[in-house]
Amino acid sequence: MEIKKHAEGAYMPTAIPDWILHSDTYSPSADKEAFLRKTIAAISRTITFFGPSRYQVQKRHRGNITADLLLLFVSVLLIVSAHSVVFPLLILAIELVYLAALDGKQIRGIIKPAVIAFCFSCVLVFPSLFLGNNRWMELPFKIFITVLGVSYVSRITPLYEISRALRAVHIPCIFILVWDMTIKYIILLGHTILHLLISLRLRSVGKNDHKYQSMAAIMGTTFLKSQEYAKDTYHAMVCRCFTGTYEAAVRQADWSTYIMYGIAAVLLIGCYLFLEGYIG
Amino acid sequence: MHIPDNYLSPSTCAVMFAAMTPIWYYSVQKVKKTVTQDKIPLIGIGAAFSFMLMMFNLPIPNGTTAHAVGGTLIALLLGPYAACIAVSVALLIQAFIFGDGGILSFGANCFNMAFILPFVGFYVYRFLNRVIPSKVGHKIAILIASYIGINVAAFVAAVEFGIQPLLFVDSAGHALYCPYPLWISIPAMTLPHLLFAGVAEAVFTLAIYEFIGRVSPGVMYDAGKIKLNPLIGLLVALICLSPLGLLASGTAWGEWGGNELAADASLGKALGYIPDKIAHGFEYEALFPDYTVSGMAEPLGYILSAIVGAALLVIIFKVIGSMYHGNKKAC
Repeated sequence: MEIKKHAEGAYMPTAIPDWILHSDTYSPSADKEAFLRKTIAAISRTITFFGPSRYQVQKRHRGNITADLLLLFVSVLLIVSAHSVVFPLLILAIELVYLAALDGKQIRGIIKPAVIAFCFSCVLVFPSLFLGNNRWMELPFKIFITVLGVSYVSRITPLYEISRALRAVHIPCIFILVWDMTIKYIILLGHTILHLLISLRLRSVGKNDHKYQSMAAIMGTTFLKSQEYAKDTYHAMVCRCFTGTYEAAVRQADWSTYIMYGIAAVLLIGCYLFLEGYIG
Repeated sequence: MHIPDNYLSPSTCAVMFAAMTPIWYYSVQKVKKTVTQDKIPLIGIGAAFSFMLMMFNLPIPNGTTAHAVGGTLIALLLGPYAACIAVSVALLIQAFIFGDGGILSFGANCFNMAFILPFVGFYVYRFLNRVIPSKVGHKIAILIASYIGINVAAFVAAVEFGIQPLLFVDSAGHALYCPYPLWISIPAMTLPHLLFAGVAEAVFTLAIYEFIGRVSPGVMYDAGKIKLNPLIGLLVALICLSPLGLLASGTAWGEWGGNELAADASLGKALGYIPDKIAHGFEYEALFPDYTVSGMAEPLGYILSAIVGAALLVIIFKVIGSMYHGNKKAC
């Protein structure tokens, strides 16, 4: 290749190098990365479930979360103690009406755990049929309704609102701290692992048989990151004078909401007593 | 028009089911191509309307009852294929949860009410709309189409009933399944529909169609807005009024239990026996048998059944809509 010295002293090539004239025929060989793809999808799902986007997809909760939880607790108690299926059927009708107001994706998310719980309890209870238990479907049916109710309340309620509601019903602060931290760390560490996995995937050009070896490095890095996050959290707590004590923010009493919840609770208990034959 | 189990032979039921299978398949394919994703939940609301209309039993002077179906209404709003799917799912819920219509005869019931009724109603409407292209003509077309639709469906159901004693009898000459031949079943089924259920179907179809046209024109036209709240409001009103269906105390013709059938005098005198397969045939215990809940007053049970049925149908089609990968938007 002929090179001439330029006036300023720099060397300028006068001809195009040969290698640049050849087209690049490199095509990376096929690689198996199903585990990477599946892990990334699973972590993304988890982050979506716990992360802020969860708050955005749902409608703004207009009621009182604490009252919701108490009402749910009462209805679960009544369903469990009901002798006939009439009262659980009534609750099922109410739950179906609430579900019908949501969109299809949310309905699927709510029904899924209830169906799993129903199937699992069916498997557990089924042998009692051979012992002469003709009402063997009653228990799975009750489980379906209770899980459906819990699933509905958990889906429509933002997680930070649940923390507030837990405090309002005098759950110990340490429990709420653990609950809060767990959710935040799932999101933080989930993001960290997700970024590491994506970078591993992007850097694995062609066939890379050593991807599995990187898993230990990813877990190790995540562990080190968790230490950093823990220190950062501690410093943030100190800066904000947070001692792990949660004070439930007292909102201005919305009496119409309380009255509505009160009427709902009385109606619920009244229906239970009537349908179970205690009154009327 | 809901044919119970054991009124049709298993072979008849199998034939009807086999006839419906390609219709369901083709309907699903057509709906995927023609109905946009945002209109899928409307099929559920249409199915819920159909379900509610079927709960309003009308008393017939001979002591039986009849009811509207609403198949033509859904066909006019969303097309006959969507109507076929909507009414089929409504019938499925009725059969499995409320014991209204048989499990074995599900295919036959779908053939009559989910295929014949909406398709006849829809194409009669299209024909009449071309013949009388005016606003009044449009309303007349809706009335006549829905009237003809339910009557043709009732006629087909009558034929299904009527061929049973011609084909299936025991050694003593007693019918094994439905005991009434064509010359009894056809007038018994078609007269109440010609005089009462047909009129109810026509009036309900026109009234609801006009209501939807005013409050939510987007259901009918792609350019308009789809407002679900007025439709849900109408559905809630129908649920609240559903106990009116209990005022008709009799059983619809061809939907009797064994003892009622033995005492029935459609042949001019009491039948005097319970056909063998009806007495000892397939039995299914539904969760809400005949829209009642044991331990609850009948009207309350009826309302509870209406709520469960309507909500289930809306939920089913919303879930299907969320998993739907067909047309995203209208072209």
